[in-house]
Amino acid sequence: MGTTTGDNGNPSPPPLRVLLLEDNPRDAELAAAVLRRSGFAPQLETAATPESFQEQWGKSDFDVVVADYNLASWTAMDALAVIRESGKDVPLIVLTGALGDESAVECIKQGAEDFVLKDRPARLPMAIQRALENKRLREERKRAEAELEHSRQEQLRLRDEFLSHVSHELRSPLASIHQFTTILLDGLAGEIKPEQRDCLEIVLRNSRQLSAMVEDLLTITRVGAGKLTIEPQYTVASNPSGNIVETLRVLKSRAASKNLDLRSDLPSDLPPIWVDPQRTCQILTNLVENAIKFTPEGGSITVRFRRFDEDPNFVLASVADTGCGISRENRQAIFERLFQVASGDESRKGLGLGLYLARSLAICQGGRIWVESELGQGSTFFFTLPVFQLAPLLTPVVTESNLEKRSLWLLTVTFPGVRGSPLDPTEQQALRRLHEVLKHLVRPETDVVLPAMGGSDKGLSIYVLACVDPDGVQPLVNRLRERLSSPEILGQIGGSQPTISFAALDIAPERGAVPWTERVEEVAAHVERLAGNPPTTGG
Amino acid sequence: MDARTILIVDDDKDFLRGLGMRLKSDGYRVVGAADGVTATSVALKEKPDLVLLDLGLPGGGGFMVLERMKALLPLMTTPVIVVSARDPAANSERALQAGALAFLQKPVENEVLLTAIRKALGESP
Repeated sequence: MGTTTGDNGNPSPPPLRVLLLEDNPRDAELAAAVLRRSGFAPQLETAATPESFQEQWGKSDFDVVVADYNLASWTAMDALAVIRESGKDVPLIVLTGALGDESAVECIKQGAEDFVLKDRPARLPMAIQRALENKRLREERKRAEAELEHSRQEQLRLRDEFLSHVSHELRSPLASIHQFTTILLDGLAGEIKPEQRDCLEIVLRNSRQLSAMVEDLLTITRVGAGKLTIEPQYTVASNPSGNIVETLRVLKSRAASKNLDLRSDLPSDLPPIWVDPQRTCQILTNLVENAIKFTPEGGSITVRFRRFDEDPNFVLASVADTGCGISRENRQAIFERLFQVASGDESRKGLGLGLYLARSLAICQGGRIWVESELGQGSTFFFTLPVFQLAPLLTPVVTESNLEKRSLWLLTVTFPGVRGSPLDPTEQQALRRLHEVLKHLVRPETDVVLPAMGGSDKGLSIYVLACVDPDGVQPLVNRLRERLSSPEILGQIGGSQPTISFAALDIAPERGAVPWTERVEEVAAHVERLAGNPPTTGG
Repeated sequence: MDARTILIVDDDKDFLRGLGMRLKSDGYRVVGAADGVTATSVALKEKPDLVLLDLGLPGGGGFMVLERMKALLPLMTTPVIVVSARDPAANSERALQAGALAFLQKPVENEVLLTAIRKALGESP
């Protein structure tokens, strides 16, 4: 609050905007007089009724409210409620002829700044002074807290930026270490002796471990920055050439090098799941690495996938070990960031990020994670993975307005040169690109491009469910064919022309009984049947 | 048939050399460039059958090289595979849209790289 200099050279006091709620004109005049005498330059508005108080309050800004405790139909507490509701921080001072101690305490409790007895009006200026000072302190604290929070956020951002930068910079030298180690191992720089081979294998194993740590670090910074991308795909966990089986193969040999037996149980009749295969493997890797670390030599680790009995919408994955187990108090804490077990004779402790990362990823995929364990009895980690469901993907287009005049068609776009191998990054990228291209070619209000559900030696098919009238099918097919035959797209899918076939969904039209929005499951079943036996090579 | 020529563009000399050794042993002829400007001129002179392209490069980044190649008639159809330490989530889609065949992240396993190269060159895997 600034001060201005008056004519006499003394600083004149800053104006004080006061709203006085008082139905007794004499008391109002008394309060005004006290304020004028006290050195304030009061700009006084007086309200005698609740209505006029509310009107004045809404019209202008005030520094302080002075309110008589008992009006004919109102109390100061009602005025306080009006002030509160407006969201403004303006102190209220209660003015009263007779206030029992208890009501005084109650006023303060409710949020009044102070109270002044009418027979001691001289206290009013002091009360106002203190109220304004308190308000100033409140605002200062709020500002300081905001600044602190801002700088905390800024620090977090800088830390994540730094970690991300470091991780990227670490990748390049790692790439060279990996490159030259494999050059030596493959004998490209001359023959090597068996002992040298052993040494190089160790270098390679460690460089891979370091790469995985860098990857974890990067993932953590993305989780922290809310930038983690999850790309769910139609995934068949038991696919022998899929990510999950491949990851288990690698983990098996890692376990074997510590003389641990890793067994896996992946039934082939599990329903397909809707997860990011890479992220799922990251969860699995972290849990198995953790098991390897805490299981003594000669022990065993069992990875098992099965239907989740408690909720058929999920598959339950578990990693069980015969290790040292986890104490009750640690069972929750182990999922915290940077948690390290105090004991542990392991020479390497790792980053303390593995289980935290596993939990973050499991949650990001729509599942959850927990552990069951007793000290000395081994541990079993569980995490859930959502089962793939077609119906929710169809909901946006299977609507009354879409199907009033049009009918449902299933287009099958087959790419003979693409097998959709989950482990081949070029194929996966081509697949993503094709999906994007198709999505841009259809109308999102009426058509939906379904996720690729695996391929075979004959090629990979992407299905499009389209709501069109019979005359509209061929033009849509032509549009897709033309775009997919461009040299740029053909280059990315190995040069062979895609084929497009289409068929009407053999589904009874609406007869006014059941609305389309309730027939999505039925449509999904038809799509699945038309798409043939659900292919089982995804993931 | 003469050996197919692969141009490796990477400012990390160690990586360039290592990858060169690896590809030569697989029967390819290898030429290299360590910056964006040289990359285009070497490409024009050598007419490689395939380009392996890093993204972070002095003298115009990899994306600029890629765009320039796709605009030059003699290089327009030359397949390009991006091999970079950068985050695929942020860069692979952009690389593919700019005309790259694939985005491989460093460190890349030799088998994965060779499969991608053979596919790009239309060789049987």
